[in-house]
Amino acid sequence: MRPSQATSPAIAADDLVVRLGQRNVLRGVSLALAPGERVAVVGPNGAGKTTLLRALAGLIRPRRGQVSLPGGRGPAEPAARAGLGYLGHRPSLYPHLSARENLAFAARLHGVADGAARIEAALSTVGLASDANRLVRDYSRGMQQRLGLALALLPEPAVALLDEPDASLDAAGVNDLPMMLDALAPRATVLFSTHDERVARALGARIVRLEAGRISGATGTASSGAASDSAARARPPGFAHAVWAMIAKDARVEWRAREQVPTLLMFTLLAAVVFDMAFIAVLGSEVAAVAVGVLWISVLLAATLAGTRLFATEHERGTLDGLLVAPVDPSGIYLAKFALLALETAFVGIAQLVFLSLLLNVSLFQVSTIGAVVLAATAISAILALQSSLVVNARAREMLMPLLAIPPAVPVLLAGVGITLGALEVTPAGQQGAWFGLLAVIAVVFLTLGTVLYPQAART
Amino acid sequence: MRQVRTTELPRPRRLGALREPANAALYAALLLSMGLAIFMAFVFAPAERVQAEVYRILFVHVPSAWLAFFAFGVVALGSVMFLIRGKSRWDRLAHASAEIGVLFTTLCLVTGSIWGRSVWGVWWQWDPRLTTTLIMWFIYVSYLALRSYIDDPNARQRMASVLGIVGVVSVPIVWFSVEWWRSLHPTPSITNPGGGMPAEMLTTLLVSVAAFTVFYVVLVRQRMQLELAVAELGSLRERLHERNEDST
Amino acid sequence: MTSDLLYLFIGFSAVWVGVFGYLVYVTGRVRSVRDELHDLRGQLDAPQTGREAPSH
Repeated sequence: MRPSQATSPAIAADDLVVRLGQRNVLRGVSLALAPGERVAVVGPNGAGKTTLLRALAGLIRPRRGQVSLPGGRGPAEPAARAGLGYLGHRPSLYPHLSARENLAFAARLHGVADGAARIEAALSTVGLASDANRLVRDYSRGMQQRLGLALALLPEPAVALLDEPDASLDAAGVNDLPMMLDALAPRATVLFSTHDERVARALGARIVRLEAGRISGATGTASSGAASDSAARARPPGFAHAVWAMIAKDARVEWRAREQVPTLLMFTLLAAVVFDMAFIAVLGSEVAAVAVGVLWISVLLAATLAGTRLFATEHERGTLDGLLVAPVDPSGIYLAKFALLALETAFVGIAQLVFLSLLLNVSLFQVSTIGAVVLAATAISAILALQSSLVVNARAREMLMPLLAIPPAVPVLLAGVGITLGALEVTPAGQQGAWFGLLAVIAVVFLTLGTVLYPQAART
Repeated sequence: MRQVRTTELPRPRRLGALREPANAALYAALLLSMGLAIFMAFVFAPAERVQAEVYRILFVHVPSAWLAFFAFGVVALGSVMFLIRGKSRWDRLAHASAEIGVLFTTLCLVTGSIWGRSVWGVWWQWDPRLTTTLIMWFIYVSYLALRSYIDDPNARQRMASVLGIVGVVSVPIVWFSVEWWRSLHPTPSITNPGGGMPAEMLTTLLVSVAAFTVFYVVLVRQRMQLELAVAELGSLRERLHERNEDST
Repeated sequence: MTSDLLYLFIGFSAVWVGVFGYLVYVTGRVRSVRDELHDLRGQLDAPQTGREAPSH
């Protein structure tokens, strides 16, 4: 299917073959959309509509074939995704953030210029202005869909990929759909999937039929929209800026949901009390050794517990896709998750220094021990953040994660124990410098590995 | 029986068929080198002054260790190549090599433990070499566990490749552990020719290492063929499934 | 001295049992998978009508 115009297509797929599991879900799909064109992909369940949109957005690596976005670049290039809006099967929304906060995060991640004004305009276009400060978890499914649409079109993308934009919308919502598209992304090239051909016609779209992974027919004339050379509203954000936005988002989510930190604190306190009681009752005199042992056991286990959920929550809520389609190098996602885990682990470790100092009457709360906890948290989090991304697709990941996490942590524990025993003057303090050096080396090695390898694990 | 024909898939080859020259040569080399290694280990190499006969366990212990390192190096190589090229063959190589590496690490730990019982009087010492080797074993067991816990083949290959690269960091740590920390474990005798090992022993050791390496090649080939057959089985089932769906 | 020889014997046996056991195990697996492959190929090549879906 070639576009009738001489202009180069806004988005094109060439002989796309995608294999999921043992199954070829797309079996050679070629498709091209002229700039400004709207195309509806219709087909029965399991035809491969969602897979096609995901492959076009770069969320799946095709086994064969190519995708080109505006500028002729593939979706794997962060800069090529700058003009891309994507609404997934589930909207990429954080339930613990309000609608406005969700949009504000997307605006920062996509580098939307004049973000605040654009957000207000988008909210009123999709009819959510009066509910903008409510948390998304209190939204109905239809409201979430409207918000998801606003979020996908927020950067005024040159190309919008919308997976069943009419899903879970009521009749009024479906009626409003053309208006929303016209208002939010008037010049965009739009490819969307739907079950309902009336929706396709209402949006003035050319219809492409997808059946069992192949395009089986097309109807409707190629509607060349107002040829858009629209310099997109969004400029890709700086890398550090995007990483910071993701960390701030996670911190805000944690502040609202209080899922991690309070539980981890309770866990460390419990570990301190229970292990201390058990060991001191028997050992009596070896207080320093018990304190050091309990400290590092609880730091490692807390990091493993928190690390298991690091990518899993984003994956389960579908928000990982939202991060991956942003025009940011995926290593930024890794770095943000690493930073969050390192902060949590260090916080819990420092709290444990206080607990143990009080409970066991030892002077563990020192500059060198705090430094050791912070550096060890950095090193452990660097490797755990990578491994957390490896287990998102695994069965029983909470069983698997400790198996992956504990062996590489051994040198970190050795160094940590070395420093803390030195601080308690169980061993001569002279070796602390070498242990700190070891911790720093491990942290650098693991962070480098994670930054380089995460982008490989991000898209399957 | 009617002769069946398949259109796209290659004919099934009988596994390890000695008719195939490559296989025949490989198995001949395996038998010859293994026979030679055993002969040299028990007859050619002289008894040791202090340990008398038990030191001969060296001739299986050191090759096991060497092959464990080598196998894990191949895992990393296969993983890197898979991530670059995306060909499943590289991932099969990494998987096969990891499993065999775990096997040889296990054998290295077991033989080392038996040797230690005889020389040091204990089954296990908290010695850096022993401990780091055990941790390396855990790392690659977790690599195999990760593979078995991910159902989607694409995800499995990518995730395992990443872990296969991370895991290889443990190899130099095990290797240098005898030099970095004070250790009871003897230092490498091959890279340290002045180490006082008689020439006969050194020759025997080298022959054993070579024989075990041939064994490794045989095992990896076999394991990769298994992997290939299993993958083919999966896609064949899927084709059959699709065809049955189409015809209904 | 005899116990030394016993340890030597155990060590060598462990290695040979381990390595050959693994080879035999893998070879057996390959054979059974190949047999299954052969059956499935037969089903794929057979005429389409009147065949039942394999249960798996």
